[in-house]
Amino acid sequence: MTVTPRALEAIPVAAQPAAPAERATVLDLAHISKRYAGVPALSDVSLAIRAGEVHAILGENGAGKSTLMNVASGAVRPDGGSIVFDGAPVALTPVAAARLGIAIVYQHPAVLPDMTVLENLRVALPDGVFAHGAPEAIAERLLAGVGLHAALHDRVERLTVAQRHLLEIAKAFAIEPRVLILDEPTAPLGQASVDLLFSRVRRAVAGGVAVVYITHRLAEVRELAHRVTVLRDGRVRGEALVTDITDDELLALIVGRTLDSAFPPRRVARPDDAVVFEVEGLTGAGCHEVSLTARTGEILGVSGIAGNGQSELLRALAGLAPFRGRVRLGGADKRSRNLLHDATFVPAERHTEGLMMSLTVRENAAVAALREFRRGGLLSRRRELARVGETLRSLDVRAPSLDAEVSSLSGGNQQKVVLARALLSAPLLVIADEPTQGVDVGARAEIYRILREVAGSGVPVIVSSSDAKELEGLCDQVVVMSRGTVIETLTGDDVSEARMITAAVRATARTAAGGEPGARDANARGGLRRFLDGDLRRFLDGDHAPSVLLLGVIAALGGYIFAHNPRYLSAFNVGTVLLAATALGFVALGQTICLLLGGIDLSVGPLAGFLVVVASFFVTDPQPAAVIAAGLVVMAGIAVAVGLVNGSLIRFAGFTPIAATLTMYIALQGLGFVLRDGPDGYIHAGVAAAIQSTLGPIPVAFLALVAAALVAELVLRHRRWGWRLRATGSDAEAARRVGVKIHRTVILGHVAGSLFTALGAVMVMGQIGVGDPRQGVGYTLSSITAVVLGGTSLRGGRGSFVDSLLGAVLITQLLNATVFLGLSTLWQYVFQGLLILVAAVAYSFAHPRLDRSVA
Amino acid sequence: MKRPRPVTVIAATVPLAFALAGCSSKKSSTGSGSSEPTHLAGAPDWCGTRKITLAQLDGFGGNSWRLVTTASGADEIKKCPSVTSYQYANGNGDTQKAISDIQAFTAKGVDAMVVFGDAGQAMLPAIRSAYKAGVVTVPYRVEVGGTAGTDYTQFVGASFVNDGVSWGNWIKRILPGGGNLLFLSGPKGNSQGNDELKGMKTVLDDSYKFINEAPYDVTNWDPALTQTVLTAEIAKNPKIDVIVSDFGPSLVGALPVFTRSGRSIPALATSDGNALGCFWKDNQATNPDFKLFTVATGNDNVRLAVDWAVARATGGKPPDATTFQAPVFEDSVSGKPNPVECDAALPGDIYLSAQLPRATQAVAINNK
Repeated sequence: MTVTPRALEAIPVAAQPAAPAERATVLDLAHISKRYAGVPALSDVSLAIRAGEVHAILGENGAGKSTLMNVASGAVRPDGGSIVFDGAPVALTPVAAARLGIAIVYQHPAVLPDMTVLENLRVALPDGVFAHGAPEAIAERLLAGVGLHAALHDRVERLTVAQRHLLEIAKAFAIEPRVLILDEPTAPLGQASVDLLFSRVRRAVAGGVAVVYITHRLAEVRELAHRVTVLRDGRVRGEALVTDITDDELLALIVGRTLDSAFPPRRVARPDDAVVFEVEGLTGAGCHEVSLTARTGEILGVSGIAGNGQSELLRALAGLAPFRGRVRLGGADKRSRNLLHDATFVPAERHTEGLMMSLTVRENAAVAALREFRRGGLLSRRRELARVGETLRSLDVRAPSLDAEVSSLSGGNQQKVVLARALLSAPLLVIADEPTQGVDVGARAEIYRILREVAGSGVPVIVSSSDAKELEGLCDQVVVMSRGTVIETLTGDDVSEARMITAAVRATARTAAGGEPGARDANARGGLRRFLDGDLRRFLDGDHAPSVLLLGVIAALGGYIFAHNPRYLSAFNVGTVLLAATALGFVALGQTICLLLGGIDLSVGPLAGFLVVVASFFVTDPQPAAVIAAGLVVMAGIAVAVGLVNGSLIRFAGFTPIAATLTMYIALQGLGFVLRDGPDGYIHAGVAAAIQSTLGPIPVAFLALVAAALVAELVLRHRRWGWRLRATGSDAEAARRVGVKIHRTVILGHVAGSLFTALGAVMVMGQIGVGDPRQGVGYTLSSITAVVLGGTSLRGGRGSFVDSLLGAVLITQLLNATVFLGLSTLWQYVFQGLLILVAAVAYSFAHPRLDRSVA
Repeated sequence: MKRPRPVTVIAATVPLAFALAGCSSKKSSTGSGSSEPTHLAGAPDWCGTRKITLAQLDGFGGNSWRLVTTASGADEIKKCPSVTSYQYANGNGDTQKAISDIQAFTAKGVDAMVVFGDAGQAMLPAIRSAYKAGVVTVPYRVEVGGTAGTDYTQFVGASFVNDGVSWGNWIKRILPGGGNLLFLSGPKGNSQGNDELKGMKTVLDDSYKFINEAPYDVTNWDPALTQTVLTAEIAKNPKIDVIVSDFGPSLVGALPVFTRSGRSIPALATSDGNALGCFWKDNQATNPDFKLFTVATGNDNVRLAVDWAVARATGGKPPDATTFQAPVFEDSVSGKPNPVECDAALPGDIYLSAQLPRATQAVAINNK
């Protein structure tokens, strides 16, 4: 499953594109402007994209490159300017752009983690792509075209970042676009993949495709592009043919700023300064063989183009991610868990990781240092107030009071609270990731001062910033990272923005393995581990694992009871158990749809009960067949309406699935009591008998349930409708970008779910035989239990109808077993609880999301 | 006596493959009245000589009243040695579980079952299927619809109308000029409350005004909900002359609200419970209007159902009665048939009106 090097095709890598004659403009962006919250992201940007050439867009982080491409692909609507395609003005949306043949490879691939590689291709690409030939063969060809060696039936979740990018690229090439936009496509790729990609791009260009290539790297521009446009601060700073401009001229266009003077004076280096912090050969997820040293009083900067391992390095040093290699701090070797304690981390994601927004300024500042305020077993409020107050004052935090909610502070003051907490915990090492992001100019200077003071007190400070100018002003030493490794260490006068950017954009180093640097190494463990990581996990990860497990449990439990009491397999028992399982099974099929969508339907139980109450007015003994049939139609109609309302509340009214369906739960219960205030209306005996008729000992309805589950399973795996359902549940945003209509999918999904519940209600009708508004509620919980036992993820995107059916059978079997084994009700709960626990552990082991420890 | 025959197949892995041969022919003898009753010497009349197994099924078995009732049923069964095996199952308030219990016992081959069908009519198809499979089936206390001999062997009801009449007569005696009545019953739509109201209405004219929601305030027979509902009603209504409830002990939690708001606790017409008796004893001196009248809370209803089931299954002589008549138990005004009783040494949630000895009740509720 890795990207292996491939023989390059016969196109010479270094072939410099011939200077193009004036070519036809396919897509013309004129005077585009776009503002976000009043801040201009693009101002008066014009760009002509020509057929048969590669047009590179260069610029620093935040220069506006991605915004411009989102405009070009219809994902973002500009505030001003015009877009002309083939000479005609157009209003672009993602769908319209796709129709015109504009394909975009996003920097963050729009792939669906819970679906297989093949399914990702099929849901994203028009049917026409797969029209001629076996889909597998066509898909294999598409993947081979970009050098992606991944099994078609592996889940995309298991792919490396690089492989996901290649999949994204494969999708773009598959539709044979007229305009191909590539947004930093090579960032995670290895050399072989890059070469292959470039040869594909060259071939496409030779065929007349217009290519837009966004990058940070001058080397790539030289290698691939005909024309280059430089953006800085949302404006075009220059456009030229690549052959007409030197690297130095391009660098001047990219940087183009002078240093302002908000920075505190640097430390004066002395020869006897001790090395207080030392890293040797650190390798972890996203960074590789990193070495650095810092002396007393130094601020060490980490520079590079965003996403080249800076954040990963910082997290490893903060003890938040595992690493191999040696870290010495204050004369002692430190491991990850020591660093978690000794180092303090100021995260880039202030709101989600740095602060507890609903707590007060005092609580946020004090939480890491509570040990300091201990007196006896309790906290000394006085000591806490004194220390926290003093620190906040020294940092000049402007807050209405210590007990104000931290969310009421400005960004700069919030960041100072984060720093206050860092300082109160008396760390041995301070690590700050983008410490001035979203902070106003005045507060920036304060933060620089604080960091300098901390360094001056002998605590090493490590700062990462996407703003090279900031690092130039603040740091004594800067390491520049590219693709997870340190490519240059700058000290003294070399610490300059120009040197940093030059190093970063000139970097040609490519990662060796072609995957995420270092990520794979972590798996090299012993035999058992390999078994657990490999074979067992692959089995548990597959769609068939729950079926096998459930069938095993069902058979084992059945066999055990049968050994105790042969009546267990009597026709009467098998028939009644399967009949009860049929009612639950249909409801569980409906619930499965909602869980696949990443939601949940709490209203299924009351809906089943309500529909039986409705039936008790139509499907009763003296009624003629026509009325009974009308009753069944009314039941279906109500189910459709309930599904429409649930889905619409979720998609259009902003309800969470729980809130929407809980509202429906209560409403349906109330309506049931409006129709009948007690049990009444006996169900037609003939109809009840028909519902419960059997073929031998097996209820016909159960056979229908099995058939329904199999058909639903088929649709889920092999039809566009099923892919859309799972795509939506897997990642709604990515699904939207590949063209899935989310509103329609969710709403129709709920309608289908309610219709399955209506079939369950028909079974309940036969089972209880009377209209009783109190009945049915229990199906909500038991259907969820059945679906979860069947391995359907509560997070959405993966699951199976057949497994839900088996879950329903198992639950019904358990109820029956308590009587056959003479167990108390307690055991029923113990059994169910244990099964769910085992299922949850097994499936979550098989399905780890990459949640890292967050201290 | 043919029963569904066990099938000897290998335990197949696919439920579909549960293969089956059994037949569903009914048991021929369900102790129909045609044959001469038998009698096991030394046992009650209803205990015949045929050996049987019997199951007691509860729709909801959690609270102390149910625990005492279950223990009472077991106690009654012990009187007949012909019952060789006794089993119990608790539906836990889940209709599907209660239905499953009936079907599983039927499949397991018990000869007789007594069923507390909490879910009411919704239980009828399951009860009917047990009866049709040849099990002597006796639903009791909760109306499940259907008819004896077609859907089940015999229904042993309780006369809730009769309870209502007893309360009504007492209310007329202590409050001859009419007044405000507050009536609390169990879950919404339960037939017991409706029957009790019907009984009261046969005795009380329009000068007695029910100030609750029609037909009764819903408490689910849950002490916590009862306290919430009653507290609200006390705050809302400055004048409450009599509180009527079919679960007396559940009132105890909320009654002190009267005292705290400077009002006397009013008269109570309800069912008995040790906690209620003791509460009356502690508070009657300071609350001049606090009179208490109780009917037996009906734990012994199950005994009549067991008598019926055992008689029909063992070939004994069925009892004459098919309905349990809850006797009047306490009257603080007349002292007849009993003055208010309290056994402060025992737990509050036992029922002094039940036949089961107090100490045995205390064991039953503590062993839950």
